[in-house]
Amino acid sequence: MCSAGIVVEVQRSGWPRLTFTGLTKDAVPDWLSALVGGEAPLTRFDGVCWNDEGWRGLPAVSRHPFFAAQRRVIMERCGHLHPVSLDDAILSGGYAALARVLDDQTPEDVIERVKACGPEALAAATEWEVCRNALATTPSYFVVNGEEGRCGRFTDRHLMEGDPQRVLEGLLIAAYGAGTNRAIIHINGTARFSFDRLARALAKAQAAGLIGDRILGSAFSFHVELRRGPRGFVGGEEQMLLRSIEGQRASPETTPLPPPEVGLWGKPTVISTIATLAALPPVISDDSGRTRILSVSGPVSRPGIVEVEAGTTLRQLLFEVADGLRDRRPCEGVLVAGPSDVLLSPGSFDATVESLDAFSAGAGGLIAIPAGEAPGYLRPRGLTRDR
Amino acid sequence: MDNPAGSLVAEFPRERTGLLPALQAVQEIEGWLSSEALAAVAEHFRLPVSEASAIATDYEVFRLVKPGSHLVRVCTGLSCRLTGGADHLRTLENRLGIARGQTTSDDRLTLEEADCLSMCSLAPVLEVDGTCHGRVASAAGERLPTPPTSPRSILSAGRLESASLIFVLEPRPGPANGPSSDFWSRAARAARPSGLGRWSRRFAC
Repeated sequence: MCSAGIVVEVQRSGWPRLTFTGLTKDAVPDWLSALVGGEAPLTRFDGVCWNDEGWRGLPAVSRHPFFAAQRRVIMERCGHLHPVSLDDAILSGGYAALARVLDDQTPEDVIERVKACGPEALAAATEWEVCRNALATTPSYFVVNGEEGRCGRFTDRHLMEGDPQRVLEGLLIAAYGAGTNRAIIHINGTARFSFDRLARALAKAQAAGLIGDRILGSAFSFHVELRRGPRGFVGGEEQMLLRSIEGQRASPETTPLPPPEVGLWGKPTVISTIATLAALPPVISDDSGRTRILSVSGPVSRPGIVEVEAGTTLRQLLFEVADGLRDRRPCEGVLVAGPSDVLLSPGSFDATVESLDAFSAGAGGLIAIPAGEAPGYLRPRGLTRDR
Repeated sequence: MDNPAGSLVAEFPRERTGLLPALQAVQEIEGWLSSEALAAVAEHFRLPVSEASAIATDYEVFRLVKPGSHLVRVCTGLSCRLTGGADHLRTLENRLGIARGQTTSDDRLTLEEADCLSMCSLAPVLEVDGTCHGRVASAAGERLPTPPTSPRSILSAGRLESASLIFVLEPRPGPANGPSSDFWSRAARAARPSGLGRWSRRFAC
């Protein structure tokens, strides 16, 4: 709820979980006395109640305008626990999926399970399979591409900052499937906060033996290195990312060899994003709802990170969840932030979120463009698509 | 090269994979990469200076010209541009009398354009001495003193009545799981307490 700061979460035994939004410093004394001073309704404060019926005048999640159209599966813990804490993560089900995988699933089982979860998951799991089938004596690597350098995308940072233990759990599951024992997590240089949270979460996971040798008593050992990429690095491109880790000049290859076969230092390398990894624990736990995380920004009333089910349209995202453009300005289009920027006109607003990949593969963000302000570089190149 | 940076680089393993993190660590401490720093890093990794220079010039993050005492970076990614970021940049250029990428004549302040700080939901975003400020008011220009005497005056002119998000990372002990991540926290602790080091410490995590 990036537009709603300051956001305060309240957890008290016997109460439902509450999130208050738009609090100011001056309002805190009044708010505290209203909260704990009795049973009076709290309608003069903005907030949401994380149950089905609401509480003391606060709307239930299903009736809150920002959350009503969302289904938060991957982000279910973001904002509700101490992000770095391993205790909080485990108490809310963290690492249970990993334990299940290590206890009674083979890497091939994991690959088949993930392949069944949609086209993106199929592509990822296929990459793991190729890496697995590479020469058994060759060390292989798992590189996490946390660069996320495109304008309008900030979901990976949110996941690293909001639930880093989930990201690490997903990484362990993916690496187990791919048969790799070493990972390098490459984080965008500007994402200092993300690096800090992930580094502290990693330290706690290592101290507890969840990352290291013979994890949870299994034969699976795994070691992780964190790196901060140089700021502004055009590192979304995989070959450039690998060369930068090697310490070479980062130049894209004209005829690149596929990384699962020939990657980092010529060894089989799986490259994955943060969002892909964070989505894995729910998949293993049989929560089969297919959701998609997107960043919504630009001059909208409610920018932020949203997680919606397949079938949600762009129109719902822009005008229900994000509440349209500020000052009710007309919308000229929406920029789909992905590897290639694509400007979609309002005629395409009934497209669903899963069809965004047809416009820009791996799209992760939407930037609403007010009338008359479309960037000049998009129109002349004729990238406007009307369907 | 100063002792804190030199001794930190000396502890990097000499494998090529450490070249980029070593250059980043030096810039964290010193604020830029002088030709002496490049030569010292190249010497440690047993590479020609041209190799270190190649990496240093490959990434826009590396400064090869000494910056001012303070650094103001204005995000001009699309979301920030649509919410007034470009106006902020123009206003600051006019008030400071310099173009983006330049430093004031008294070496106090360097103004840069940042290509997407990835905080699009808090647009427009300003980064001042390593601290990010979101939702900076669009009417800031009229309230800026001429010339702005300090980053603080820039911020107070641009702040909304309601809270704007500010976060500063303080150095924390890093995990002992590899050279790169731990070096960030050590670089932060080694940063000098005044001058350039003051803001470079805030850069480190």
